[in-house]
Amino acid sequence: MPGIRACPVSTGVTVPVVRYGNVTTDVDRDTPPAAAAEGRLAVMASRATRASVMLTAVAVGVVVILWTMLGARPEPVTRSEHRIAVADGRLTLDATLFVPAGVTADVPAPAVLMAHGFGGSKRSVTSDALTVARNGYVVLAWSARGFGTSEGRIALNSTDAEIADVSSLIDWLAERPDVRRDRAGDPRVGMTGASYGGGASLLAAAADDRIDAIVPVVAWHSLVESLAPNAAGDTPGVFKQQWASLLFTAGASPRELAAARRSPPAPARPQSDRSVLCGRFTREICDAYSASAEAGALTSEAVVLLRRADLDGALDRIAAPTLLVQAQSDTLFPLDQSVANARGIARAGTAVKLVWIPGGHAVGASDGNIERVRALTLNWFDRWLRDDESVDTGPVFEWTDRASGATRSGTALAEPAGSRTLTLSADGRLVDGAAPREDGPGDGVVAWAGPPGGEPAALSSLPGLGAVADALPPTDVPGQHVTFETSALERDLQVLGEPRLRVPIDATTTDVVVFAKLYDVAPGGLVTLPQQAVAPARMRSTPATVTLELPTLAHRFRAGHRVRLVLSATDRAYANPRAASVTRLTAGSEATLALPTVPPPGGVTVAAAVIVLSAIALLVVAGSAVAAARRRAHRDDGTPDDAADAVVVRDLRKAYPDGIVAVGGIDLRVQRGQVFGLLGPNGAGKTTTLRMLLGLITPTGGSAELLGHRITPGHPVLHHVGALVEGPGFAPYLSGRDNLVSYWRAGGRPLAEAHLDDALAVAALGDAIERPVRTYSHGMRQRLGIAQALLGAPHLLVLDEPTDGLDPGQIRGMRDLLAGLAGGGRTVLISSHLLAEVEQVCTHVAVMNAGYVVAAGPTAELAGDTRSLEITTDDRPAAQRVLVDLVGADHVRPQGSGLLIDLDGREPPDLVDALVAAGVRVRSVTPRRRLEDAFLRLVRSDQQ
Amino acid sequence: MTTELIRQLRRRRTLLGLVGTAAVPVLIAVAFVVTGGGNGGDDGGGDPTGLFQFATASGLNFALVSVAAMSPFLLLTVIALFTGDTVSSEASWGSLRYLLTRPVPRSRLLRRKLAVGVVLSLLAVALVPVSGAVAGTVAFGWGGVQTPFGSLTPDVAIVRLVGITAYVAWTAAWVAALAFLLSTVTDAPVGAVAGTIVITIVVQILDAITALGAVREWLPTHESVAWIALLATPPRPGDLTRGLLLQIPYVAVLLTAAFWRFRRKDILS
Repeated sequence: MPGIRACPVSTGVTVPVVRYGNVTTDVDRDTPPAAAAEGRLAVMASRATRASVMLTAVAVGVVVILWTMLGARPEPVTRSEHRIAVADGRLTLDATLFVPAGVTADVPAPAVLMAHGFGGSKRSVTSDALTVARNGYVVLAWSARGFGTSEGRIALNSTDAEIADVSSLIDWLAERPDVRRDRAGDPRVGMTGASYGGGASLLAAAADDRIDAIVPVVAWHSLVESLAPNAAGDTPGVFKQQWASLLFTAGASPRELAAARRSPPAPARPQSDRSVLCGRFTREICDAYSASAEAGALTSEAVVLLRRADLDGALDRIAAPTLLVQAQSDTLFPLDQSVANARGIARAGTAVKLVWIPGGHAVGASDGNIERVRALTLNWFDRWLRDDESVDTGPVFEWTDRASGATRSGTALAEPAGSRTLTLSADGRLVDGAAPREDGPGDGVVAWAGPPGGEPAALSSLPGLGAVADALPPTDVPGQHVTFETSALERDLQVLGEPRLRVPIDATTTDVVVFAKLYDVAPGGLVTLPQQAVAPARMRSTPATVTLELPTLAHRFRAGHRVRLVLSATDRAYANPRAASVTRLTAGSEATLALPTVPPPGGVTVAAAVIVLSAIALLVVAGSAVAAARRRAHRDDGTPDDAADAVVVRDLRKAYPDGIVAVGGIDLRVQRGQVFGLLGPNGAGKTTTLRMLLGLITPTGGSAELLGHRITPGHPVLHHVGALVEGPGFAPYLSGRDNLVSYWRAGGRPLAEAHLDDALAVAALGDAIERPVRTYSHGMRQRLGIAQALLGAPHLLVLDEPTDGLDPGQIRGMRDLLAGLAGGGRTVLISSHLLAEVEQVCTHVAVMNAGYVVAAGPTAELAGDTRSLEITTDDRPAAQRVLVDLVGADHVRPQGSGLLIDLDGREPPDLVDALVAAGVRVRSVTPRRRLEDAFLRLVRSDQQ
Repeated sequence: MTTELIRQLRRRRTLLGLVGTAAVPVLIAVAFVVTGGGNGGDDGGGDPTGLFQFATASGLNFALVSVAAMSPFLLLTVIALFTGDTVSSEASWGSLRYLLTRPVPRSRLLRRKLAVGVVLSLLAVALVPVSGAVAGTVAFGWGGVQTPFGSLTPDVAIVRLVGITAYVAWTAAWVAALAFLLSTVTDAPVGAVAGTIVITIVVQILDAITALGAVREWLPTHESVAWIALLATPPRPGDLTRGLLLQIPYVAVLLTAAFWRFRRKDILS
């Protein structure tokens, strides 16, 4: 039981943790604010002290918690034995009271009445009682009348016997000060029990409104229906011989009584014949059972007796919230019993929950059931006896999908979601659909025999075998049954609920008995009887079209399996008719089987999820198509605006998510016909700027316009822009020509517009143009790249380091080419770090450094700003001395045979005068107006 | 589109991939002939479909075995190559930036690349049964198909084989979509292809761990051998439908991610 839910012990443990938390908070708060004003070291020292205090406290806390946990034992539960007088003191019942430690008159606890199953006694529920008691409930377990050492005789939970006893027990509990009371004489009490005890719980809750919550496990709704089920109507049907005899034997010679007799050497008492036969049953029950068993059917006396324990009229009086637990393969009290109870209680407006667990009537025989039922029970009592609304009792209906072992749940009580109707065909098929079709069910009569004497009988289920019986293949006697079978199922068929069989039946006898069963036939031919469920039907007026309510199933027929309907004349578990008979069934459109269904797990959910996801995907696709169409509609066709400047850049910025700012906000303007140079050291942001101009990189701010169009990725105006960015890029396996053709075709324009030959002439690759590009040298690729940029005679050329890899002759050719282009009205934007080239080619220049434009303007203007002189003299060392004295060592450096002097505000004649005065002969004085100097100065000053 | 297809078909890698795919069934056939048929040895547990024992029964049988043998891994690799290499190879050549400034709109570029990758992948998948049937017929003769479920006449078998090939191709759709996504993410074609193969292997390993329970049912490889149901008479579409549907969310998500990512990507290659 530990582990299923938190026990009170752990509550005790959490308290010191909470207190410990408060202590640390207090420490923080108590730290004087002055500490902050002290020196940093002092603060650190006090922090260190505080940290070590906290660490120590944490360590102590951990040790305390561990010690508490390790030292914790399940709290002792005090047991006391009692004999409680019932029936106005005429009888005493043997009872044990379990009181958890800590429960006293000052701290009273709710009580739980723990009833036992048929044939058991209070001892058989000790372990359950201890579990509930350990969770803080006062538990009273007792032996019912006629069981254990309790007095009295078994009256099968008669209202005036066993059920009245329960009220006496509640009276007894109400007197105990350690039991919580709702009011005087009304203790806070729940009741639970399995089978006989489950039925008692329901009946007691109906009879005594002091009961505040019940958990009946594998209980009945109607003993008559359970012991003589009839699928064809409400009248008692076929006697469930094997179960009835098993139960009678358990009552007639209770094991507990025998054991009790053995232990003390009791004096032998003379026994009457009746007590030998009937054990501790009341006389009327013993007589009724004997007569029924001999007759092979419930006698009317038996029916009257059993009806006393019927819940039909009692359910609307149950006000105690009820958790019903039923076993899916229970052949004594099948699932439909729990459904009837649940619906009846729900109709009265009382809270109810229904749980179907795997296994048979012996609940504990299936793995995990005991733990699960205990957890459910405690949860239910915590919710309704302690009024703890934080307890989640889960969905209203839970059941087990035995095909996967998974628990499934529903919001309604065993309500099917749909139905699948099959038609019985005379050739033994079960055909989909209710109406006959061309290839549908054939009409016809099938017949089977009931053997004289009722033997041999079909074997489908045996009580007490439990889960083992599930694995046994059911057997039917040849000639005494008919089968109808579906084809292999295409997908899983999840049956949930009560299948209905509607068939025209005729028979040679007036008392017709038919056993209807649904088999699950696996692809290999393995046959199983789900839940060992058999529906016996007794019909007294034939011929007739009868409707049989088959046993409630919660079974998944897997895809590939077949559903087989079997109608049999006999069943070993029942009292079979002894008269020989022949039963006929008219197959065809009048004979149908309706299977209530819910969607199988997984399959449909997967399909539903897939459908939903697909729908979303389609929506996304459709949405983006619409958006694309809208974009196309609004998109300009990219025709260059001749009035606009070639390039206009405003506050263009690019910052990467990692915080690196490549371009910090630049403005540029390139007019038509200019050859514009973008200069800057490596990492200045030149290439990033060009990529943003071409729509390859999305700016994080500002805008760029080319030829009058604001650039977005793939903007059509790019058709009129030729580009070479960071070196050429070609498919290495294609020839130079094929690369250019393929590149041009990718744009969707006719090849004639490309002016391919003009471009190829620029590339000047000769025959190499037909060779794969991977054989090209760096320079050849560069030329091919420039040729690619020239394809289609673009209005604007964006060239990044165009002379990279070219020899001096080619560089000169390139210079001429660019000049020619500019002369022809084209605009060229070049980025380069080769200043000499730029100076010779470019009309305009912008200098970039560290992401910003630091200077821009006509090349001549920018270069002319520089004030430096190149002075050649006869005596360089002497000249250097003189000039260093004059302008400082920083501003003088050797250059070739002469000296380069940065004027730094001085006038050239001053220098010449000084040299002449010093006797140094000046050969030449040349003003330096080189871009390089301007560039270096700009970049250097920017860095300072 | 045609330009792009021709462009890809002229690549040595494409041709090697296709020729290699077609050659594998021939190699298997030669191996079977040299070793005198496969029925003698132990089955080694490498045959989840139970088809290998019938490999030498007929040319069509052999084609079926070729599909069965190549669909779990080899075909996926070829498909990953054809779709994972699409965008990343352009990036690695440096030609992607020129295509985009040509300009080719980014989604159009992706659509084209994807279409060509898919066409090539389908070609590769289709080559397997064709090559298998030809090699098998030469080696083992023409005839019907033996399956664990019984036998099929040649005409029925051909229809089933086409269906199986189509199913195999479709269940590889997620691999193609994944490779394509990776292709838009990385500039290294090897990275996209190898990454796809690694992920595929991981998914197949996960799918083999029964302890994962229902999670496995959601893996895109889970129904990859469901085509075996097409050999039954009549064919049972149960798991096939699921296998077909199962691909849709993966393909949708992966392709959406590929387009979404590529449209916003800064082209730095």
